[in-house]
Amino acid sequence: MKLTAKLALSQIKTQKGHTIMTVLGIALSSAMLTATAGLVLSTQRAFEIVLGRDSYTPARTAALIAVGCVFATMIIAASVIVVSNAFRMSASERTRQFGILKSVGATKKQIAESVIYEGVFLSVIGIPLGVIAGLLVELFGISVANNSLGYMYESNAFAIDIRLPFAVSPLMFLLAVAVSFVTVILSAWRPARKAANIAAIDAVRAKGEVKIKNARTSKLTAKLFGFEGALAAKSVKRSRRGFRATVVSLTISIVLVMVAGAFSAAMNATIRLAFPVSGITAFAQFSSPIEYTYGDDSELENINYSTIDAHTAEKIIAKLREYNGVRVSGVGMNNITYTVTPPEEMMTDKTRQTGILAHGPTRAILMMVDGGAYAGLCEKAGVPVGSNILLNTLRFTSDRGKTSVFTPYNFAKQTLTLTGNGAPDTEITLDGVLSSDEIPAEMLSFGQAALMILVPRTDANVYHWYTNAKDSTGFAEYAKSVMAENIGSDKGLPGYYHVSDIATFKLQQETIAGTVMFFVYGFVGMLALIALTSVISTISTNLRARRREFAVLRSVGMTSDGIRKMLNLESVISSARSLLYGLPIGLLCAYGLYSGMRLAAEIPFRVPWLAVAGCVVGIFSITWVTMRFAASRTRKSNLIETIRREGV
Amino acid sequence: MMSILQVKDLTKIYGEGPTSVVALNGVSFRVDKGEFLAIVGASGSGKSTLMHLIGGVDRATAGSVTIDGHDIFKLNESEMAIFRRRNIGIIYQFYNLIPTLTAEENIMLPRLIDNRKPDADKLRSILETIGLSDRAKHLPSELSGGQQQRVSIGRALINDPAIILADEPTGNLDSRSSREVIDLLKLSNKKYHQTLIVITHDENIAIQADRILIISDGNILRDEEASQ
Ligand SMILES: Nc1ncnc2c1ncn2[C@@H]1O[C@H](COP(=O)(O)OP(=O)(O)OP(=O)(O)O)[C@@H](O)[C@H]1O
Ligand SMILES: [Mg+2]
Repeated sequence: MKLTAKLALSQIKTQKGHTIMTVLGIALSSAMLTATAGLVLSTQRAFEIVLGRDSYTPARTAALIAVGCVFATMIIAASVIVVSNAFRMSASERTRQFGILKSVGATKKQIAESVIYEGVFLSVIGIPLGVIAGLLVELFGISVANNSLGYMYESNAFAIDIRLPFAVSPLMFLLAVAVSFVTVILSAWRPARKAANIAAIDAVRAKGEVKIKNARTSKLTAKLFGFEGALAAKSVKRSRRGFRATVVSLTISIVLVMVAGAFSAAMNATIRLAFPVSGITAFAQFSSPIEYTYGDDSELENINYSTIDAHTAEKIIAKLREYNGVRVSGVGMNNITYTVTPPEEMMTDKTRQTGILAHGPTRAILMMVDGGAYAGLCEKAGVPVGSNILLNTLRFTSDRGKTSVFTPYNFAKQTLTLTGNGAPDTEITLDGVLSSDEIPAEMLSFGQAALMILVPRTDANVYHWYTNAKDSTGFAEYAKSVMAENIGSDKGLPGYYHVSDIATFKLQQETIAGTVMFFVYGFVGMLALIALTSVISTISTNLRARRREFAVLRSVGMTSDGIRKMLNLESVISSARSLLYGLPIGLLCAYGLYSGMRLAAEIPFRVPWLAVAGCVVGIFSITWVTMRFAASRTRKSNLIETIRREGV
Repeated sequence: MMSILQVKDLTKIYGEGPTSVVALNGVSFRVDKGEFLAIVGASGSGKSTLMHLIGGVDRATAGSVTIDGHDIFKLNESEMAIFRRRNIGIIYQFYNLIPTLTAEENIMLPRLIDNRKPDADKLRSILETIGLSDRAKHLPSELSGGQQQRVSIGRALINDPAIILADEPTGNLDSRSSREVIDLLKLSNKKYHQTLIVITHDENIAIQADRILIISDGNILRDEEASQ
């Protein structure tokens, strides 16, 4: 074997910890590349199976490849940062060796070659491992995806049974291996050139790190943390590069975790937004057709619609309850017949500000609920059964998309005149009031800019029956038959009906969201792991390079406790610093993500506190554990041995 | 007699501006082939600097170094590296061995770098000369200081260089090991007619040389034939 290769190999063998971490980093990134390529291929195959080959096939394939490339770019970026850091560290550990080689006549090319050989050897171990792991990841990913695809098909959400086949191709392997290898060699390139350019004289003189600047530390540090603290601050300042690498890698992990946290929160918020009424598993709806007739002068002449009365609604409730005796509640409203012009003093300031109900007549919505619920609400409002209750709430979404709920009216017992459209005017007395948080959510799903009054009974042009039945699918089937029996022109109740199996629908949404989250977390988690391999190997290499420093400190009487204290402080400093950069950047990215998702759904921005807390705890424990682990290993080495060996 | 080494107006200034240090101040001298030259001088007088320039591991501020007719500062870096591995053997005070290679591999280093076949006979004779035949497969950390220094001498000798440069080769050794190391260097000086330049603080070593160069503050203070 060539000498340069041999020296690279012995570096790999002697620096075991560093080698393992670097191989892990390389393996992870080639695993991710393999899995990405595999998933792209398998999605492409799935499309081909379902859709067949047609003139769009090339375009679809190109789009899939483009998506794959986006992910690959992120993976490559992370691994270049991490792997080049690994090579920089190992090259700086070998500085002295390179100096000796140069002084016996090695050329620049040979020095660079030796670093590149390291890359080749590490790739030879790491990439095959990574490809195998990548296939497992692909298999796992496909089975997770198929699981939810299968559920979607069974629950009738998808009309076709799409499954991802497990697909591999020689080209895919070639691509993953080649890209991984090129990434590693590219990462080794700069450190190799730098190593080759070190002047022989500097390298021979160097005992480890080449240039050491005099680092000043504030008196405050020394006062707060003692001599050990001052030493810790000094070493952080001195080996800036090593610490920077740690801080950069930790920062990347923090940003990734924050973005994933924000993404999952946003997904959940979107689902919550789609299903505001919790606890409801299914509902049936009656709605009347509405026909407007206009006169010659295009004045509204007549509105033609059908209504359901309280009696019929209750009858249907009773019928629905027959299904396993489930609980069914009903809400109906008439939002067509009346308009109202509330007196000016009834408006709250907020209403005036928004201008939403301020001027002229507004729609008056008369609502009714099933008998049991009505009695409960009357009790809540503190009025006798038979009263009319003002539902004093308004949901308002501004032009900028901000949603707020507020109290629109000042309640006072009074009589309002309702103007009838194609019906006689009528008077109504407001006896009581319910505020936003006293009103059941299902009544608010009608949410409109209107004056809403709960009345004992009215003729409703829309009526909803809700249930919390466990077997939502069965109930939905049953409800359909009940609706069919009661609603229709021939049944004396002209109108439309619609039954919705919310629980199943929600589960479908959650299944999709869960699958997406699985892939997001998987991707982000693996990227973060790549970054962490770098953190661990940087810290342990740094400590190894400082063995001599520790030996000297101990030989002048510093205790192990003192050294431990110094290392603890160092890990605190680097953790704090990466949090300082990572948290704001992560928040910014999270906000960017929200802004993107807000285009699709109205969700409020929330700081992902859980992710923040996770990062803080995670970062401190990772650096601390690594430091302690590496330190315990250096402590085991004999003092004299260390000083002697470093003198070789 | 033809001189193998010719140093002319050699100047080395470290740093720039007010903090610059003139380590060598226009030094000139010649060394004949086969000569044993000792360089002595106070600490900080510029001895190591001189040796690094002759060995081509550092570049001069001004002046020239000519070895065997080659002006070494006219060579580019890789030419210099190849020239060095074939013509110059360097020995340091700290042995500068590669800890992961065995003694014999360390000795063979200049050849391995040259991609030349390891010459078994040559290696055996060198191991015998330095008295480490039974330690050939040992790692540097398994050898004593004197033994390690002998390995680095073996490394300097392996390619039959025209010039051997040694910077305080005995600085780290006890008197017995020192004597062994110097005897070894003298032996190869006589046997192979190699030019030997030794920097030393040790008078006992200096007086064994053919010629002594005394350096002070970057200048040659005296250049005298030894009174043997
Ligand atoms: N890299 C450097 N940068 C700045 N000054 C240097 C550097 N190397 C050496 N010097 C200075 O150049 C002068 C000569 O140094 P040199 O190492 O040649 O001395 P020396 O004669 O070998 O001393 P010693 O016997 O202690 O080894 C000294 O004053 C030293 O401080
Ligand atoms: Mg010196």
